[in-house]
Amino acid sequence: MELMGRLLAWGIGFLALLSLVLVCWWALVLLSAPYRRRREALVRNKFLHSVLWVYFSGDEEAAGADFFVRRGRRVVAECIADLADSTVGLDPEPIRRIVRELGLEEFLWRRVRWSRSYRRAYYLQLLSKIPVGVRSYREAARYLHDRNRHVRFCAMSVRLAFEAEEQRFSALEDYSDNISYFELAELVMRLRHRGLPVDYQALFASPNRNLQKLAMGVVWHYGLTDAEDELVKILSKENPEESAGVLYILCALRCSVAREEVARFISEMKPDWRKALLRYMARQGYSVHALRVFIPDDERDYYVSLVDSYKLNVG
Amino acid sequence: MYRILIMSDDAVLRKAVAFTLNDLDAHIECTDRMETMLALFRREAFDLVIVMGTAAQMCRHEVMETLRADKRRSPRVFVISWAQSENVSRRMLTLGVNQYMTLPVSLHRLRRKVVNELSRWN
Repeated sequence: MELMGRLLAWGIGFLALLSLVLVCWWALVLLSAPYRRRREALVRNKFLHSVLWVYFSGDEEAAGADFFVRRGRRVVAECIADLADSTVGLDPEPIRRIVRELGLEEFLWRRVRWSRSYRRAYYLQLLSKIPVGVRSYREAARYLHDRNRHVRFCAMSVRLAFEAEEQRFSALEDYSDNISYFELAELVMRLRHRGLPVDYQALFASPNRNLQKLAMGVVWHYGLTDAEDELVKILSKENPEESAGVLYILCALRCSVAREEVARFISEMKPDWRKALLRYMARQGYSVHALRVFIPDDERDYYVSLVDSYKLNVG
Repeated sequence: MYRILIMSDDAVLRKAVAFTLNDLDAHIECTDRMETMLALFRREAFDLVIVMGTAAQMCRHEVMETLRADKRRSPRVFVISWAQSENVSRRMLTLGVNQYMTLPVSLHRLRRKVVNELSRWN
């Protein structure tokens, strides 16, 4: 009984001490946050100034690599990623040199190994936006089967970033999940940032659904009306979601919807899906006359009301 | 000397664009919020205003009204945004924006456009 009492007292004492340590640690983190933000802003400004000076002055060396190694490689990686996201057409050579000099690749992989879940995905995402070598291509394969879907996607993006220079998409082909439209938008934006041409016809011809989806994304993004035939071939009842996506792309490209395969598919769609499509078609300016072949009378009245509400003048 | 006002909530983009225009004969002010930009604009005259981020912000009634209030000296307005649809770019031009560019933006191309626009206006 006495032993139990003593154990209980020790337990309570230990918990109290632990709580105190946690509260002190939390207070320290809160109080140091402004200092950390100021330091990061300083590193960010200095780095940006340094790298933009290289681009616009023609100097080959970005000054002060030691400063960045000591002060914040994570911030430097974030800056490079932001610059890659927002700008296009910058020579990648200075950035490659900076990544090598600061050892950013090794630094980020260390962070990936020691983190979990979305934090790990975040560092993988940074890696996908900086110029990386074949080592990252191999390391990323370990995370393609992570429990977290976002980690799997970001690991695939790292491999795809490496392959995209050579017009290869095997990373996407081997990806185990069906890419969602959000993920597709992200991939298309990355390809656009790199300014690389994509052979969408070869992607359409591939039996892999992810590659076909990538082709659809490229066609939609660049408004490639030449790809109408390839898009129509994808329409099928076995893939209702992708087929619906194809219809939206055809409407975005202002292609004819009176084409036999398209009209048949729309007339056989689920009513709520068709209604959503009609709303999109009204925004794109399709006239009631263009839809007369395949929509029932009540939906035609609904469509007329949509066109009137958007105040579009359609033929 | 020209006066250029840059608005963007993205610090990296803001700095990159400001640096790109650094060597022009211009005084550059940067801000991260639309309200601050409008307040600055009401206080001082600017020759060029560059708004980066979402085009939707430009559709607010007071934005273009403030920028075009002085009929004697209307600044050039550049909008750089993610939206790529034809509707959005047409809407921007209808509102009175002089130049609409999409992100990701080429800094060299932006600089060329700014130089051309300012020299033509002068």
